[in-house]
Amino acid sequence: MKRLARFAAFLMLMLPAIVNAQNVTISGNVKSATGSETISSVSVTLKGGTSGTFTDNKGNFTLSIPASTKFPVTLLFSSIGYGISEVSVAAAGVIPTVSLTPSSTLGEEVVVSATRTPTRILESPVSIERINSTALRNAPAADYFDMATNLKGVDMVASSLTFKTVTTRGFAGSGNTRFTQIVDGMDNQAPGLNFAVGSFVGLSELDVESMELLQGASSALYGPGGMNGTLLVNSKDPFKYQGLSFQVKNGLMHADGKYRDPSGYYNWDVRYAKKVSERFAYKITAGLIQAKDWLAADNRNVTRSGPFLGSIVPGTRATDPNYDGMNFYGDETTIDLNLVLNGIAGQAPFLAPYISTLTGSPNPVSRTGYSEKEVTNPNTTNFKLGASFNYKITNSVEAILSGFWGTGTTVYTGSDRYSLLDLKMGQYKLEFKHKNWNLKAYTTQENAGQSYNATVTTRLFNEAWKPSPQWYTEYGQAYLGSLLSGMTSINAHNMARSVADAGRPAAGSRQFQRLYDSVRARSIADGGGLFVDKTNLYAVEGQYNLTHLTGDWAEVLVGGNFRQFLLNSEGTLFADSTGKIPINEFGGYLQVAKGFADDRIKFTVSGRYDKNENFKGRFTPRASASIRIAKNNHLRFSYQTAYRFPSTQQQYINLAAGGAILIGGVPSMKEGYNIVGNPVYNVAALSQGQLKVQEFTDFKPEAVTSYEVGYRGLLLKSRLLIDAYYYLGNYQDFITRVIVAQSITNAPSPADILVPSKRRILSIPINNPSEVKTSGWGVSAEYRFNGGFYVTGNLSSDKLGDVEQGFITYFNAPKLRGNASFGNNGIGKSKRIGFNFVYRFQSEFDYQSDLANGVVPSYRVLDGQISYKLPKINSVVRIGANNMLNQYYITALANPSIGGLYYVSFGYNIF
Amino acid sequence: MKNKLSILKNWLPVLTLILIVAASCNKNVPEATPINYPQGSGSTIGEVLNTNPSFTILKAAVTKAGLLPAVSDKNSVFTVFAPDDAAFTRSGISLGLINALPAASVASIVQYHVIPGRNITSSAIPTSFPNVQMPTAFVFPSPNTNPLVRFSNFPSKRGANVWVNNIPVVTPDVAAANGTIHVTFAMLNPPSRVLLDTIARDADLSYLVAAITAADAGVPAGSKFSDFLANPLANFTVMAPTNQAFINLLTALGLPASPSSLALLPQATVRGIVAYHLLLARAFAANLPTSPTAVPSLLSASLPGAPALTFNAAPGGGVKGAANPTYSNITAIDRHAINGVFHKIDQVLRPQ
Repeated sequence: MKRLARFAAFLMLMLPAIVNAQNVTISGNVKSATGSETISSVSVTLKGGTSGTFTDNKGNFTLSIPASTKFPVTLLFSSIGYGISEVSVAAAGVIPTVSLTPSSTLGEEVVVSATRTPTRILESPVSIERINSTALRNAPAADYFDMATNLKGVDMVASSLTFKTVTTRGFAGSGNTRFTQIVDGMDNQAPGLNFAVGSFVGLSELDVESMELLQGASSALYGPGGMNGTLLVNSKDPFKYQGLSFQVKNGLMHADGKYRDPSGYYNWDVRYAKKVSERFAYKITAGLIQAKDWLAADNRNVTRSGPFLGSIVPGTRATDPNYDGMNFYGDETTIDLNLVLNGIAGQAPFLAPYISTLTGSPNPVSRTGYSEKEVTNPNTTNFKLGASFNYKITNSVEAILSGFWGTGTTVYTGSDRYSLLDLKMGQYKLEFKHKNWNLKAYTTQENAGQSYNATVTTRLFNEAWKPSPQWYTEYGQAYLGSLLSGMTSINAHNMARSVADAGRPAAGSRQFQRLYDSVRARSIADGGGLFVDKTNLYAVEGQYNLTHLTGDWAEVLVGGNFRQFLLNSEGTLFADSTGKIPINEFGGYLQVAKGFADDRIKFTVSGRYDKNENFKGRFTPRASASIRIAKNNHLRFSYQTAYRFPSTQQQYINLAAGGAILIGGVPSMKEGYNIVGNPVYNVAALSQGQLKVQEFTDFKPEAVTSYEVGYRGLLLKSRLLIDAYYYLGNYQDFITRVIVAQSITNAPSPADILVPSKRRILSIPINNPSEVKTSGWGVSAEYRFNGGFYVTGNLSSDKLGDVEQGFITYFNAPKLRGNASFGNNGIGKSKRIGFNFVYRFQSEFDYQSDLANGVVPSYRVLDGQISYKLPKINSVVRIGANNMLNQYYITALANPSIGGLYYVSFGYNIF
Repeated sequence: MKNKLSILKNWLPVLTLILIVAASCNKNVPEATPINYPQGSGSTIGEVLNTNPSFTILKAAVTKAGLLPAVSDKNSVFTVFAPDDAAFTRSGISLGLINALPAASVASIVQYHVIPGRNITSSAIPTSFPNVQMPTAFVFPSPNTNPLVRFSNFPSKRGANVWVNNIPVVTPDVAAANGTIHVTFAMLNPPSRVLLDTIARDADLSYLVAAITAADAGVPAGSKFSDFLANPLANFTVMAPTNQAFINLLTALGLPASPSSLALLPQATVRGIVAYHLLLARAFAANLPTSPTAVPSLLSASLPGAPALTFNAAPGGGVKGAANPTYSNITAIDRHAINGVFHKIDQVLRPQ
């Protein structure tokens, strides 16, 4: 960070050295033709020249052009939501006010991410969705990231208010490693924790210029990951979007007090951008969200044994001695009470025959858990900072030094629920941009802070308060004693629990907090719940567009990247107790695009090769075609491949958890555990009485091949925009885990495997040889009425093909989802009133995760906002609601019930 | 344009209404479903006692013992060995006596008839030798403080016949909503002394006492036979040779017919003989096998390879040591103590 600051200071010092002496200027003001409001961020360029600028937040611009330019000249004015205007200027100096006419032409959007070159969205050869800043500004969503859920084919898992994971084409889940999020060109996956951080770290709402979502396999251009899609979020250029902006959004959550008392929601953003000169501009952004989070309070009973791990079964704490509540923690600790009872029988033979009438079948008993509300800190805060220094070294090369830093507290669902407490993540980038090439280097610096695993911590808390041997002994004796007073078995169980739990610290008490904090603060490796993780990512990427050389023959693009993960968990998470572990990856890509028949048909072929030092190199081709069937009507066909390298945890984790040691799958891990010399045995086979040595093949990346057809076109005099797709996906080498047992004696023998004291249990990642097929479709329509009214709607579906019985795919996608919206960004002549209502729904689906499996009920949500512009002070007041009817819904099992969020906001200079 | 706008304006409320209706029915996350533990149907044990006219004495006793609410509770479960009025009368207990006895005494009697927490029907009672030891509701009195330490009773079954201790069950398996009633032929009398005490009080067993004393001489405390026989938590059957049986043995060995003669025998021999008379289970006469059956004694437990005893409760049988040429008659049965039972026999059983 210090080094970056020094570099920034250096850049600043360079400024006065570059002066444009031989220029003349044209200046003026740009207004909307329908009202008195000035328009900011209007692009002003010299037709046929290289000079350009943007209007500031009062609509003013000053364009420098070389003094040698011959007048009259033509200036081009363009801005999203307005028609392009050409103005002839006879001489340098101040020109009359320029008026732009609002227009709402559909299909004019330009996307970059589909082919890494600017392409009209209509001509994109693969499925893509774009959310522009107008849409962001008018969305009812309280957090911009929620906007992505309104796109077709998108599933979102909300682990908490501020921790949301999006995906497309199935396999939803938080910590999804098959969907890449890229913010300003940086992969925002937390490198050690392996989840994309969404809006938790990244852009402040006011700094989001656009979001582009690529549905489906996209590694061919964006590298490993992105098997199911990629979301790209782009920030606002400080040259273009200038001045001070701020937004204060205050709201109300938990209005009905169902899960928590009504509480406030605060979401404040500020952005300041300044164009210091034609060469230098900078911006600073900050955002703060504070709220009492949604509460995960699913008290259903989850089974942790048997073939269907994580299934929901009947039972409550009062009716199942082995109750394990989904959002209750500490109750995962369970033993067969028969062990205790038989111990009592051994010491008291006079009770042995009586006890033998109790122990005919297993008597699992779990310890008493605490609810999520009691053990995590469900008060979410999220503080974000961002800055960017943009310097045009020459007229065509721009250097950008930028950084995002975020910290906060939230809850995340993985194989357990995690309280991310004081998680900090920073991303810092230095980039050089030219119209034909770019080169960037960035790093992701992660620090898990005081984050802890709620499940592990609460289990250990229980042990710290009363060790299980003591607790179960007391329980067993009290259980027998209660039976011997005539109680039925279940009543005796409950009495025994109250006896063993006597003096149990009440949640929130000082005793509870002190003990809990002491466990929480101890690292997992030292028998606590804290995970230390300071893993970092370093990346360098470059791209060169050779089209200016290849000219008419074809558009050619080449690029490459290098990434290094530097694992650093101080031995608590990874096998890195002797030092940080580097993992190097590199890759390169080539894309050739060529149009035929008057560019009616455009073929794009790309190929990408990647190599991770732990895995064999991998080539991923992509071929696509876009066919113009009529003006503004395009068909698209694509064949795409994608894959992902196993996550850093799947490579190097080394963590004893829940009776097994989770280890990574790279050869050095297997060597460390001497798996060749001391064979391991499949535990599933052991339970069927077979002693079967587990064989390992090379640990490979997961891969997918997908085929897609799509159509995007304008109909009904360009008032209706239709987009549709159908795809087939074929996944290979799914990464899963196998549980094995290994002898720990000096002279290992197969007989040791049957003796718990002579073996250890390992969980090792492997590839599942089964193929998984998926398919799906999506269709969307947008219609523009006169007067600025618009209606949009979409429907999409993802389906899983047949898989073998018992194969858990974690497909997690509803058969049908969709949404519809109705709005107007400026009603009537003054255009001061705007509104937007969005209705979204999805059907129920079976949700599978390491934590729980079961049905996620269907849900319907209505969002809406009404805004009122105050043009004189360049401000807008808005009232809005997410989940207006306060109908709680969950997006995944064990995740919180999301209710209504009502807000009022005031925004100043919102572009 | 204006026309279209007004159409929109007209339709806006309708559209909104449709949205609201469509959106108004999200399912809540289901609550955990309790597991249902069905309550038994029919009358409770308490109600049976209350309504069945043949249980007036037991009802009075249960009431006086304060147990009526418990056995009337559907959320409890008990196995009750229930003497009816005729059985109490057989055991010499009248309604008047129940009323006259101190409540604590009545309570201990009643509690001794009850196995709490389990519903044991006759089909669950094993036929294996000798019986099954079950804790009763009768907790060991002070100085004991452990509620798990209970007086035991001993249900058993031979063929279709059910016993508890040495008392026959006349009507097994009267099902109740909260357990089972087994109607017994007589009252179960809770024992009040340990074996060592009971044996010492029997003048006809003074040679046996002398044999125990001789066997224990010099043995560290805690390992003596007298310690075992005084331990209330132990469980023995003592085949107790009468004085005459010892006199016969001593005479045969050419020793004076006096208890002190037992101290003249090698101590190992005396220990062996005493151990050979103890079984590590509580066998009532009703439990004894009716055809010749080998039953290991305490000697087998401490000296692997030692010969077993042979029991045959058929007429003309009894119990036989390996070195005894004939069966010893069992001359008195079922002398019950807290930690066991003893039967008198007319020969000393000899392993060799």
